[in-house]
Amino acid sequence: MIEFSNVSKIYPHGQSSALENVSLKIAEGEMVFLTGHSGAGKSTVLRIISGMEKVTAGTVYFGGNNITRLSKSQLPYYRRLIGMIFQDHKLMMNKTVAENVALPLLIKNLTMEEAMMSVEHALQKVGLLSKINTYPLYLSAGEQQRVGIARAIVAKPKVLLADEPTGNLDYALSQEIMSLFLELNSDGMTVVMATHDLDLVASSHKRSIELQYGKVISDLVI
Amino acid sequence: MTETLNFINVCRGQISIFRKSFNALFGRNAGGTTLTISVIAISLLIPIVFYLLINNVLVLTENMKTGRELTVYFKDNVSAENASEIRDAFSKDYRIQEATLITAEDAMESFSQSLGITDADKWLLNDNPLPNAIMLTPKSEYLTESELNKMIAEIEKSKEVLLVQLDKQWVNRLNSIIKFLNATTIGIGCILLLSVILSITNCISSIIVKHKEEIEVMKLVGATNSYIITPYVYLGMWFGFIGGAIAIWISAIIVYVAGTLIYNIAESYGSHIEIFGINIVEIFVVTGSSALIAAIVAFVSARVNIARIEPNI
Repeated sequence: MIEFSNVSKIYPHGQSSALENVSLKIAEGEMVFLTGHSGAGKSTVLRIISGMEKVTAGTVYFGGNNITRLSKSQLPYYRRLIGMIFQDHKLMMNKTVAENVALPLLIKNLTMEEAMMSVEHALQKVGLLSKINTYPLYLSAGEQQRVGIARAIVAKPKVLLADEPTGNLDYALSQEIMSLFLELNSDGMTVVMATHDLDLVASSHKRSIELQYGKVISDLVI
Repeated sequence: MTETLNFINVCRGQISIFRKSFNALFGRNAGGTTLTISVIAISLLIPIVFYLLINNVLVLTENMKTGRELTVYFKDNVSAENASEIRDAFSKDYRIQEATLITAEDAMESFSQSLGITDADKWLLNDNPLPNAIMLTPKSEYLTESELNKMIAEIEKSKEVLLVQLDKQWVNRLNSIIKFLNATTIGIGCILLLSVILSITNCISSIIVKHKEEIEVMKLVGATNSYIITPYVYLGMWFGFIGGAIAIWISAIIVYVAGTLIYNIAESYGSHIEIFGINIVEIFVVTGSSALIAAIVAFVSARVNIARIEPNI
């Protein structure tokens, strides 16, 4: 599904490489953790997969297609294949939960009425159907994160990218969110998650790729 | 079938965005949008007022006969009957609005009255020295200097004509005033158009800055730039349309108030003057063109600003 082939990334004015000669493969339906200290390159990998960054060297394939050559006009259509979940949720506070979750469908010219069935299904999956007309401001941190996950899965993307999704949550909530990801993965969703929470990684028994100073130092199933 | 459904979906989506953009006028950006619409309204109002002023001046001068006439004096050997025939021929000329015969007797009568000469004193004048004459009133479109000179040259060639007289000074003054008003309208219009462009650009830019995070998320989930830009284009269109409508409404009030005052003044002098406002075609032109220009400006501004926003995690 996703393949990095000798990928390097040097930011302009950077003293060192964010990524150095990274090669990895992630198969469809896999759940992979990207671990490592702050600045190891975890977020850079996710940013490259999501098209937010261009590589300095190497090639990245997604579903067999070389995404390093995507033009600006092709990028939005590529991003529709990916669901993204962020540490800070990135929800629109002035819109309801339903409107937030429906966004990936509205951009495909569906009306709110047409999107509602998929929105309700996604919210049911994350256990927040009762909050469908609530504004995110009135939700807890864990609930906001689950809304973010619902938005990421509503359009049935090919892969979920999660950047420190439990970073702002306590242990109990983190476990709750992790269970959700594991459930989605068991349904066949490919999940790539960047995290520094090794306890969560250990408890999941999934593949973990450890990065250090932009290089892959280990790649194993825990 | 699929293409038809897709087209219908796109149309429904656009209608939804169009309606939402109207609601956005009165949302959290109400202050900025009100200011922008006000700038557009005032910017349109000034050229509209000048335009109405020019139109009404032209209509008024159409109705004012004094000083617009050519007086054609005939030679002594031209009788009143001959002059009448020549008058009839001029009446059929496409450039002439009206041709009035002034016989020598009519002229003498008028002359005597103006000098206070009584019938008892008229015996002092053995013969009537005044010639037969025709007063020609050209149509307003032939009041330019070149047309009048051409007309005078043609008439003077006639063997019956002694002299052709015109109060050119009045015509030249009127043409100069109208040229000045036209140039002023265009000049002011261009300057105000610039202020409208800057105002809309500023308003759209500040709205986009407020929506920066929202736009970042939209880009992350795969929204195209055109999808993101569309609501702002519709917003610009609303700015232009409402601004134009307000300008027309205010101009109607001005016409009503000024028209009433002018009517009363003219009535007190025994005259009848009516002021004309903007007609239905002009209403569509003003609102349509202001909506279009505002939409284009909004599109350019939104495109530039949105291109600068890139999602970040």
